[in-house]
Amino acid sequence: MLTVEHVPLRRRAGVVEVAPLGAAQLALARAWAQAGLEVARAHEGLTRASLEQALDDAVAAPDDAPAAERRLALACRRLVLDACDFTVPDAEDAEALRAALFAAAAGARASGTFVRDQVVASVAAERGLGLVDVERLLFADLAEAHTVSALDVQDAEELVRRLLVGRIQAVLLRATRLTVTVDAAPGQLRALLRAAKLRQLLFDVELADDGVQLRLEGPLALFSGVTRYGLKLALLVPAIRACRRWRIEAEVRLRKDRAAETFVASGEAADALVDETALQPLAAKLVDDVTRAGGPFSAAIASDVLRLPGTGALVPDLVLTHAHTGEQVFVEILGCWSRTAVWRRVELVERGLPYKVIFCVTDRLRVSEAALPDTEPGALVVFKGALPAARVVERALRLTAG
Amino acid sequence: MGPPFSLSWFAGTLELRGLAAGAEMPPGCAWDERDACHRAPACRYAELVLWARDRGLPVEDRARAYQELAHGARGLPASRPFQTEALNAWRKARGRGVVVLPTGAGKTHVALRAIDDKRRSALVVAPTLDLVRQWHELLIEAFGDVGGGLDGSAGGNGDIGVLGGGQHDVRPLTVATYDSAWAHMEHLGARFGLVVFDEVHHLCAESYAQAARLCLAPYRLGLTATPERADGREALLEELVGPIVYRKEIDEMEGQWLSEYDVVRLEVSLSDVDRAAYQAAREEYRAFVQRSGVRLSSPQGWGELVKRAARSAEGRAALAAHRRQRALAFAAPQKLDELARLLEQHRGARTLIFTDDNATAYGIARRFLVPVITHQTKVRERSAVLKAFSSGELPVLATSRVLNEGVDVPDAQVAVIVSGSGSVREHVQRLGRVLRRREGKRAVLYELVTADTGEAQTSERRRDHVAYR
Repeated sequence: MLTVEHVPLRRRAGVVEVAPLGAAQLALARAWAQAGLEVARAHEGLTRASLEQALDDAVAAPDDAPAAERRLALACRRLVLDACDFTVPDAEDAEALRAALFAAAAGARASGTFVRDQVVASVAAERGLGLVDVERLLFADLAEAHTVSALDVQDAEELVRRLLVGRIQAVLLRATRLTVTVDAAPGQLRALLRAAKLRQLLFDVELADDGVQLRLEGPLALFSGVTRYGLKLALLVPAIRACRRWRIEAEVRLRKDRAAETFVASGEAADALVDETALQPLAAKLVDDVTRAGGPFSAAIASDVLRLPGTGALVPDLVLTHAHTGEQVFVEILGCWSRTAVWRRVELVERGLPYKVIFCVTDRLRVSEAALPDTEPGALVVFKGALPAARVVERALRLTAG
Repeated sequence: MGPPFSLSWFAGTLELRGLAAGAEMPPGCAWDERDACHRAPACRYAELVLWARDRGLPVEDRARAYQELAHGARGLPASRPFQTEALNAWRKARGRGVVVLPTGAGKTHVALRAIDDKRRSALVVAPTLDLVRQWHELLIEAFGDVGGGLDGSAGGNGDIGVLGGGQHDVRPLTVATYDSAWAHMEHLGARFGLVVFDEVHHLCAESYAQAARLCLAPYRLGLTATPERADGREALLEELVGPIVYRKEIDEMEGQWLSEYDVVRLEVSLSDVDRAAYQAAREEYRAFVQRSGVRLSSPQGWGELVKRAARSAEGRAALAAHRRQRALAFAAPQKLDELARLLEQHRGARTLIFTDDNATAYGIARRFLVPVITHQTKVRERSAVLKAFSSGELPVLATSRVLNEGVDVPDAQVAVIVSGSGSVREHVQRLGRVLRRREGKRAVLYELVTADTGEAQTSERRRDHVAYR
């Protein structure tokens, strides 16, 4: 991942922004990405040290280049290295060789006969190696001696896309809280909220004129501006950039004195919808099972965010709609999330949930369905393995009965 | 009696629910609109429980997830008088506080006694993988199960967990690196009643401090030989762990509890060629410093210089010159010649060689064919090397910084500082490696310094401690 040292920033009217990439700089980035990938491909099977040395020549700004250009080169170089997989060659051999060599040297030293070249020669002979091989293999398992084995990037364009995401992520690594305003399709919003939930971030949802505004932060942010959640916030960037229109406003601590500053970034759908929008297999199967059962409910992927004033929001996976009354029951599949997550939902229901919701949890969480009595607007379905559609429908009927 | 209120755990914080409207704000809490509950950092757990108890409020405690140990310590040696004093002082402070003892005086023993005393699930946090390995072995010896019962439920304490270095095995007794504690405490912080921070001065770093805040352990023990930090952040320890409850310095213990020692400074001279290269690099660097107008003696001086240097090719060249002259002084070939002489002089003695950087450590390993331990050395090889060092099979060991702290190498008698920073703490810790007492042992620390270079000043700075007077 890029860090803030890779990103040229500008400060205007008390606001920090990533300095935009002009056409010339984008062209430079593409050229460096291309050159870097070619170097990396040419180094498959060669050492990391030699790759790094070659990248120093191939992906580098001239000495007198402006700082922004030098940072851009460093960022491209970093991304190429991040895209490489490395293999550790002969680690066991190197370790065994060291053990033999050091033991022989200690023995020679103890008897007052230590002469380096003689020790090396005797161990080389014992192991059937040449003197040069011994010197080469001695520390062949160190990181710089690891060899390039593969590249996980298609082409220079993909690397440039990673650069654009990485530049924002680099700043958010130092963020203490994040406000995101998005104009998003329901699936995009669900993906974003799901990504936040997955990372145990807390959020407030407000409906804004230009979309939905989410305030995201870690639980400890209530007491102090900590950058501990920076990585989690940064990891939301792909989901944010997948929205139709988005604007980020974050409190960041970039300076050495850790003074708080405001960072802003905005854009329009740039990336393909992230994987997190994909329906969980459990949910997809439940839709199929409910549909096949042909009961009073139809099942569909939920597209609503259930706003709960003062307590955040719920992002249900499915919505069951009663064919006659049109009444809706939402289904959230918690699976094997923590017991805490379940108790939080039980408490939400007990406090009076303005929606009817079924929470599905696995029996591994040791939660009883009786934790939510029939009188409440929510229900628990505890399952083992597959989600039982019949029981979900039965609960939905109970919730809509009165 | 008011309505029952519940205390639950969420990602390193405590959620309080069920307090009557208008009730007094509990200590350390704030109202959290996001989740409609009172919230406190996990470290306020003990305070909150006491607060509720004092007011007769029934608490449903869903937060605490630690347990009592199945049995206490086995076969611990008798405590020395000062160790007993330290433990008593810690107990008196309600099981929260820092014990300051010189390296080699047996801080670890105090911690093992503390775990035995509280008999709660305990987490030991240590700065390096070598220390984690060492603590792991000590805990197995003292609290592990004899002859089975390793599941932790059938009458034993179970295995000892390890968190860090690629391992993620959490048990009622677990050892973690500071990095892993920082990364995982929001998930694990409810599972320990006692947390021991070894080399606790590390905890004051901004990120590591959060590990302490995200943990609800009511009992906390910090261990260090050198609590003071250049940035003054040691003041944080009182909040994160507790006050210093016991302290003794090297000079109070030398002879009786620590080995007697000598410190010898040896100067070497650069060759004419290296001297010329050193002067040229130094002049280039100094000329830039002068032109920049930055006062290097000010606290922000160095940072400011680096910032300015980054803005021009000339500045970047000056910084490169600075690195060059430093390398010439720190890794002068003459130092290695002197090292060869010392190794011959102390042939057979357990000798630790310290360097400032990995490259020099590997260079020494290559030239003298001695084992080396750096952050890149895998756990299995570290264990084998330390064992061979202990047994005398491999009596010389080179390292950069990873053995500075805590690692127990009781038989080490000679330390050679080939290069190091200006840090007093680092220097005291390195000396500490050879101070563990053994009958008839007299330790010696050699400091190799390149004459008439900036290293001479670095050496002066790091000797500013009672241990060197």
